[in-house]
Amino acid sequence: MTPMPVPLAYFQVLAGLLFSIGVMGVLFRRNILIIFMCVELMLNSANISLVAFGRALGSMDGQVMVFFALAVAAAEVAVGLAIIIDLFRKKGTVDVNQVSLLKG
Amino acid sequence: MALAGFLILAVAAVAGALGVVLQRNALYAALSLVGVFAATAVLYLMLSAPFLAMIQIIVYAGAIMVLFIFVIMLLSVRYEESGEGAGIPAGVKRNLAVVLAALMVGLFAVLSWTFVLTGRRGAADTDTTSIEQLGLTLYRKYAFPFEVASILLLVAIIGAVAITRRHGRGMEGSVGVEES
Repeated sequence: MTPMPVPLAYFQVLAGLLFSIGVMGVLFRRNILIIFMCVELMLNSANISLVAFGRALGSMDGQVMVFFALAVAAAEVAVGLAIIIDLFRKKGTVDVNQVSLLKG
Repeated sequence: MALAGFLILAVAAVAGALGVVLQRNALYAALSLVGVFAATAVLYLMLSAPFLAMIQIIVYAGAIMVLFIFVIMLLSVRYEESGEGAGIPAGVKRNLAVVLAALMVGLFAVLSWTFVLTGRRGAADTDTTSIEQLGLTLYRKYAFPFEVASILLLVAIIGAVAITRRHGRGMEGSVGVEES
C-alpha cells in the first residue's frame, strides 16, 4: 500500500473533534431528534477513526468494522425513530425535558 | 495537495457538525448532517476505501437521512417555526428550487460523462483491488458476523413495525397526535 497522503494523527484529531461536538449536542440540545442526529455524528466520527487506523496499518479489518457499524447504525435508526414516533404519539412533544416518565 | 484537500474537508465536516448542534430548526440540522456525511465519504475515498465511501453516501446520506427528514416533517416542523425564509414569496422559492434541481442534474451529467470518457484508468485499478480485498476479508474472516448482521437488521425491521403499530386499533390510524 502507498503511504498515507495525510498523517494519521490529523484524522484522529478530526474524529475527536466531531465526536466532541456530538457529545455537546447530546448534552445541550432538548429536541430528541437532534440528540439522535448527534448520536449519528458520534458514530460517524468513530467510523472515520477506524478507517484511518485500518489504512495506517494496511489492514482491511478497520473497513469491515465500519461496514458492520453501518449495518448496526441502520438498525438503530429504524428502531430509534420508531420509538420517537411512539413517544410523540403518547406525549405530543419531542422535548426531552417533558419526558420524565421514569423519574421516581 | 492532499493536505489542502483534507483541511477543506475537515473544515466542512466540523462546520456541518456545528450546524447540527447549533441549528434551531431540526430540518436544517438534518441537512447539515448530510453535509458531514458527504465530507466523510470523500475522506473515505482519500483513505482508499471507495466501497465505504459509496456505502456512506447510499446508506447514511441517502437512506438514513431520508428516514430522519421523513420523521422530522412528520413530527416537529409545526412546533419549531423558522423565521428564516418565511418572507420569500412562493414563486421565487419555486424558481430557486427549479434552478437548484437543474444545477444538480447538470453536475451529475458532467460527472458521469467525464467518468465515461476517462473510463477505468489510473487510480481505479488500486481501488478495485481494495474492494476485492474488502470482500475477501468480509466473506472469509468475518462470514459469521456478516450473517448475524443480517439477522440484526431483520429484528430491527420487525421491532420498528411492532413499536409503531397502534395497539388494538390496527394500522389505519395516522401518526399525528390525538387532539387534546
